[in-house]
Amino acid sequence: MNFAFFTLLPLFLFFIAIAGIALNRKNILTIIMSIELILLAVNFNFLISSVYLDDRLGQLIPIFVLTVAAAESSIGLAILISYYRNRGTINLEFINQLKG
Amino acid sequence: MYLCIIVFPLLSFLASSLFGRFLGVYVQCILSTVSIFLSFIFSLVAFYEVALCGCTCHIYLCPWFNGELLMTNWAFYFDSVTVVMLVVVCSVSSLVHLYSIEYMNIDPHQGRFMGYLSLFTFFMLILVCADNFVLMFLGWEGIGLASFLLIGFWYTRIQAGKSAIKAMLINRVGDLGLVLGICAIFLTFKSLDYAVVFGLSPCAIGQTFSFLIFEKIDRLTFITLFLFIGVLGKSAQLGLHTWLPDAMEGPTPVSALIHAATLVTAGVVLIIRCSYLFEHAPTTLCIVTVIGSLTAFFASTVGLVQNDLKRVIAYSTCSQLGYMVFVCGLSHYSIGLFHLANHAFFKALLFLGAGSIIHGLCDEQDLRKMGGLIRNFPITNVVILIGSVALTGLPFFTGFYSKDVILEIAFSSYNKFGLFSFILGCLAASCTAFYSWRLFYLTFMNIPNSYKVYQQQAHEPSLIMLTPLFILCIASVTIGYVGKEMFAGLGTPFFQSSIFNFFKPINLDSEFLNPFIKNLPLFLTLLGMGLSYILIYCSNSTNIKFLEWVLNIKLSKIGRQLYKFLSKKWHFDQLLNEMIGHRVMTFGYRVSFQVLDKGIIEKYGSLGSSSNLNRLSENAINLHSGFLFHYIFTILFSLLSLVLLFFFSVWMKINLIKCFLLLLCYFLLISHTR
Repeated sequence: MNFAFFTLLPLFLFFIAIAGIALNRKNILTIIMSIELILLAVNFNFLISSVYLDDRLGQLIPIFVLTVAAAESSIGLAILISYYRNRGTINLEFINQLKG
Repeated sequence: MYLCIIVFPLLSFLASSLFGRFLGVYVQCILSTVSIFLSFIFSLVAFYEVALCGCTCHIYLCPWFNGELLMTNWAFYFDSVTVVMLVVVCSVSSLVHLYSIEYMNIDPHQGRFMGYLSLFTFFMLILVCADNFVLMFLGWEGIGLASFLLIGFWYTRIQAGKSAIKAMLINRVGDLGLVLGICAIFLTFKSLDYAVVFGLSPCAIGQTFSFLIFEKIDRLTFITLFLFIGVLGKSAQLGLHTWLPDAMEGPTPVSALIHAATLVTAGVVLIIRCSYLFEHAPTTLCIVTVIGSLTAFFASTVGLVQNDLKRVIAYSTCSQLGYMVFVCGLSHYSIGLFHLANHAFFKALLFLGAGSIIHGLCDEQDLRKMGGLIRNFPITNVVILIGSVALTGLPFFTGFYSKDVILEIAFSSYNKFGLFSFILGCLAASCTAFYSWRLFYLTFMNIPNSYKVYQQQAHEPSLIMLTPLFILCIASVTIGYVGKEMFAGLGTPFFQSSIFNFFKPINLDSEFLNPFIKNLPLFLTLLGMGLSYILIYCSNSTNIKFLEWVLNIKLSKIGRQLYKFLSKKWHFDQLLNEMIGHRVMTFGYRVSFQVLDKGIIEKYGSLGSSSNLNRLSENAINLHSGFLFHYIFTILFSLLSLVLLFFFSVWMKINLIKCFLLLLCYFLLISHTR
């Protein structure tokens, strides 16, 4: 089993998450979830590399990423809530005030 | 004294144009007439000194512009050709000045008119007296300008304005040729002075150079050909002649000045002046002969059917110019000058006589609305009679001495071009007789056709207008006889070295021609007169049977076709308008205006680029739709493609900058498709 085989899974996860962000037109919660998925995929990748390269640094960074992801999702959800309070909807289709 | 001849007209022009308001019309008239008359007196003295006593005169004033090789001076040269022209121009011009005091006295702008006449005379004198080609060109353009001003004198009339523009533009076509010729002269001889150029002219024989697509064309042929194009325009030869009849829109004294002595003779004077060059270019001489004889024939046939009093005379001018040009083409320049001088007098006489009719008949110019004026205009009748007789070349009048010599020379020049011009010249002579007498009959002899009021008011002009007519009458009868020995005499030393031709004694051949040939032009003239008598005068006789016969001739199919063809001037105007004028105008609008100015330059210039930038920026703005998923898509997709592109470039070993350019193209594509 080589390195490429193991990195296929995080790669697929990453692309699924990106597809979730880009193709999603309705729900903002799905986007936040997709961002979590991206971070997860990145974590996976770090860990696999860490095992493959036999290096501890690869396990250190995911711990940081986990905290950052927690903070990010909490802040993101807070923004979401305050947005919902203001607009009364979190539908993505109606977030189009910032036109060029 | 020599400079006075040139300066006086200029002074009179300046006085009447700068201080006209202070001087008043009356003073202006007197001033300009007297100044031209003074220069006429001086030119007579110059004629005596230069031509009769044989001492040519060269006056150097100051340098004009000097380059490396180009030295152009304000210098005047008086030789036989010059003084003959001086006398002709000054005499006719002073008579015309005198004449227009009375003729134009009801015109509100008479002062301006006199000023223009003086200006015209001044430029003509510059032209004939010049000592180099540049100064000559100054005079050449100057008379073009003055003719523009004079033809369009009544500027409120649209036809006059159009005629003036036409005269100016068609002359410009010829002037372009003249400029090219002068440039070629400078290229060949490295000088523009007459003395140098004519002195060096034998050295240029056989020299060649390439021009446009033509390789190795003979220099002298090229030079003379382009000089001749200038002559075509100015002397109204076939092809560029259409401005001459239209120039009749000016007042009658202007026509007399332009067509008799000055403007149209400038071209012939140029040929005579450049005889040293023309003589070494036999090809050009052949072309000159052919064009000249064709002009003589063409103009006289068109003159047959013209219904405008002045136009008939204008076409006869054109035809007589043809005679002058073809005799120059047969390298008898002195005879050309002789005919020029004679023609100036009797043509001025005819024009001024016509002017006196027009003046006395409430400005009526149409021949068909005249007739029976012999009772009202007894003096003008005689004047026109003398003019016509001199023009048709009946024996012992002025025209006879030059015209018959021209035709004899044409026959005795022993080449096909000479014979060609002889035949056409004889036909033109008979046509000339026909239309001269037609004019005479229609104006004076036929039953009256004008309004009764006009006829009752018709009157001879006063003595101021009649005096020039008397003087010109005397000149028209005597000048030919007086000048014959000087110009055309056997071995005459009159022209010393101012005219050059290879074979002097050819006059002998023409002197001892077969009597039948010598008399042939006279017979043809009499034939033309007889035809005119039958077709024009007898057509209102009491003999009904005869009248019907003449009418049948006139109304037959051939007769009508011929009339239509001739009265349309051989369709030359139509041809020039449709083949050249309209095409050029269409080109100017379609191509240079619509395609170039408004098209390419604006599309790729400021307007096009600004509108394109606007469109591009609008497209880029439209990318920012405000939807979150669009932004995300764009960011991610661009990022991915950037990464891909990076790897691609590493893999294919392409320069990274090229990749970024590719990326730029890609973004432009995106912004266009949205």
